[in-house]
Amino acid sequence: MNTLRDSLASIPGAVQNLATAASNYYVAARNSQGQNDSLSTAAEDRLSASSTPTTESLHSFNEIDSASGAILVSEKSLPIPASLVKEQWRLIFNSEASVQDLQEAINHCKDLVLISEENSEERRWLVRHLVDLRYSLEELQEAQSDKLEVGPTVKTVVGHHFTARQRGIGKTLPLPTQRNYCDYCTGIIWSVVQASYFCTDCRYMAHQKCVDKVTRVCAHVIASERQYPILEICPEIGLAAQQYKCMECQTLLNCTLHTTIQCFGRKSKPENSWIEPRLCDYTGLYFCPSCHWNDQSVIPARVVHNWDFLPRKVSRSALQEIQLFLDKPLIRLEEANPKLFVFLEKLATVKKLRTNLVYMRKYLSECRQALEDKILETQIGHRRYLIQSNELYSINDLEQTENGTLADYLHKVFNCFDKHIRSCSMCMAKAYICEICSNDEVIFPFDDGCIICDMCNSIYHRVCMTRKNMICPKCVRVQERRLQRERSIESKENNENNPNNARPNDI
Amino acid sequence: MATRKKSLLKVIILGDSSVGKTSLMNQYVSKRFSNQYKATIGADFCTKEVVVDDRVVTMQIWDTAGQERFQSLGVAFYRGADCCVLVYDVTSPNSFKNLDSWRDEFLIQASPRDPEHFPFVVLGNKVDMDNRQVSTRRAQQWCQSKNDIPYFETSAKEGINVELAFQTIAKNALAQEAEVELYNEFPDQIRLNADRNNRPGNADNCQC
Ligand SMILES: Nc1nc2c(ncn2[C@@H]2O[C@H](COP(=O)(O)OP(=O)(O)O)[C@@H](O)[C@H]2O)c(=O)[nH]1
Ligand SMILES: [Mg+2]
Ligand SMILES: [Zn+2]
Ligand SMILES: [Zn+2]
Ligand SMILES: [Zn+2]
Ligand SMILES: [Zn+2]
Ligand SMILES: [Zn+2]
Ligand SMILES: [Zn+2]
Repeated sequence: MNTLRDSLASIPGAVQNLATAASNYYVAARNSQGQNDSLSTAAEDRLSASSTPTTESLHSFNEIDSASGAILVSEKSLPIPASLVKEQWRLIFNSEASVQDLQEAINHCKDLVLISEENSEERRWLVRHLVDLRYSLEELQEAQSDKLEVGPTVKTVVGHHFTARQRGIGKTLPLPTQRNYCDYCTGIIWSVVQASYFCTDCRYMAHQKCVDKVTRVCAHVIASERQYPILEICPEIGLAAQQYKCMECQTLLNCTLHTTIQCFGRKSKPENSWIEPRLCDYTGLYFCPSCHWNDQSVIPARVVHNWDFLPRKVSRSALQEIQLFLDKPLIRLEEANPKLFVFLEKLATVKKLRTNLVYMRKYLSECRQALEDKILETQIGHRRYLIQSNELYSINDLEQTENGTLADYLHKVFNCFDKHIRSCSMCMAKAYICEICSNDEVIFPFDDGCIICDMCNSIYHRVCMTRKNMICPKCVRVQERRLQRERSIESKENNENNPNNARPNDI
Repeated sequence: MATRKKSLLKVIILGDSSVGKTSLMNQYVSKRFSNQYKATIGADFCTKEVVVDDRVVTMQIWDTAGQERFQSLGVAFYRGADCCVLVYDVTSPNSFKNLDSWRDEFLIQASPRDPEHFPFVVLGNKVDMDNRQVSTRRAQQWCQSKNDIPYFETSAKEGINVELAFQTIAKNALAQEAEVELYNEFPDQIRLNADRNNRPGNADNCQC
């Protein structure tokens, strides 16, 4: 198993989108270089340690494909030479490839090697690719020989709720370069010949032969125990504190770099090579390359503290955990970082919209017509929390605040609610009238130019309230009544203390 | 007497929660009573055709949630009311004490043209119960001090006095209409303030 895992040759990934012309690719690569990594570092990585599927990736990112439930790893690595782009369909394959597909790719690759110029970029890429293809074929054939029958359709292992995926059920991956990898052994899941399982809670994927050996506790379990995403930025404790061990599998992370002979990215012998410690930006902990695939993810703590949405490298377990937190409204942003609301106009806009929608919801949720028309359900559905209060945000909400889509969405909802309320006689009956000016015009808490008393919820025109020096007349009345009551209780007590004064209780 | 009269009478029922506002309305409108308590959500109305002085009018009765959880919304519907029914529970002294604040708030929010003569009716409900806490005399005194508000003791459960009370409500609502037309140019703002400041000091009040 280990040898297979460690010797898994890296397969040069394709360009981020095969439809994109090669020239576009170089732009993309340069951009990503500017953001984060440098091409050369990535190339060194590739040479020194290449035991995991995504070592290659400059910045691979993961998307959940909701239809198939798979984490799709799209790779962008050593760029395919521009001259070969037209051949990529015959050279590059995904994990739905069959033995025949691979054999054809190998033959084609061989032909191209022969006709390519010596020492050219093409030749180098092709030779490397050929090695990868041969290795993959070997692996695929080996996979084909494990004659495992499909096990139970569902299975529970260390908190994961695994569902079986039959072998041969293919063509679920939308892009030819996307592959499913086993979270346990990091090998490709050859879906044509291998049965596999995926966790419906956290998207963990594993070969059928690996599923019973899974040790990583389901991210869903971790997330529910943690309750909130980690909001401390990369809380690193250091390798020494971790005893130089991978936080997940306890593999010793050897930091002394042995010069090992590398053959096209394949290690000569695992014992001789060093195991690269990889920092997970989310947990601040170090992992081995089997547990940390250099996946990149938005980091909740960086969003909350720095309004920084740049993806950072995280371990597999962190990635799965963050994915689960993305759409959960758990972050009390204003409590966590009040300054953001001062400096970010976008955020202030969203907050104002949500505040108004909270008021509107109260109207709609007690209006028979609105309930009948299911206005709340159809407009806001599963994002009801957005109008339940204005305090809680999910990471996705914050990302959508930054890119403007949340404000657009809330505006649309606002207009719909507003239209109902102003045309509904029951909702209009529950409008307010400013008691300071006693003007007959009705006002609503979500109107511009109105002010709401925090103490008693009364609503006034802002100008009227300013005229009254911001003293709420209703609160004054309430205060007066309370004083009167206290006085009457006092006098009653005095009467009780003085028997001469006692008068018959008239109740 | 005025010649033009509305055929729709708007009546607002106010009072603390669970004094029996909804029950009274149901008893009057559909002759039904339930011991099950169901909190009223927000404000809603029922209509009933009534005959007053040989005229058929539609009574629009607004039931409110009292101080239940939905008090947070506005009460623009108080405007244009023809009569306000204040309900307390004879077994609950607090609900009686709160009549003052219900009346005050109504007058401020409804802002009637002649607040001092606006028709209120007070109902002491649940007289069928044997643990009565507020005496008839005390209730009558309060009603007298507020410009002789008509007072009825009712039981929504047994249907005692409900019909009679609502007949009076309808009558007074119609009468108010006529008077309003006579006092067209009344300076209501001054009246409103005068009423507020001259509240009798002996009343037990509490926050609204
Ligand atoms: N015994 C008795 N119970 C009553 C009477 N009126 C109402 N109730 C009960 O008091 C509770 C509150 O009544 P409800 O009409 O909902 O009060 P609301 O909150 O003022 O609308 C209910 O359980 C009723 O059954 C009454 O006249 N007699
Ligand atoms: Mg009720
Ligand atoms: Zn899981
Ligand atoms: Zn595996
Ligand atoms: Zn590990
Ligand atoms: Zn409505
Ligand atoms: Zn005003
Ligand atoms: Zn106030």
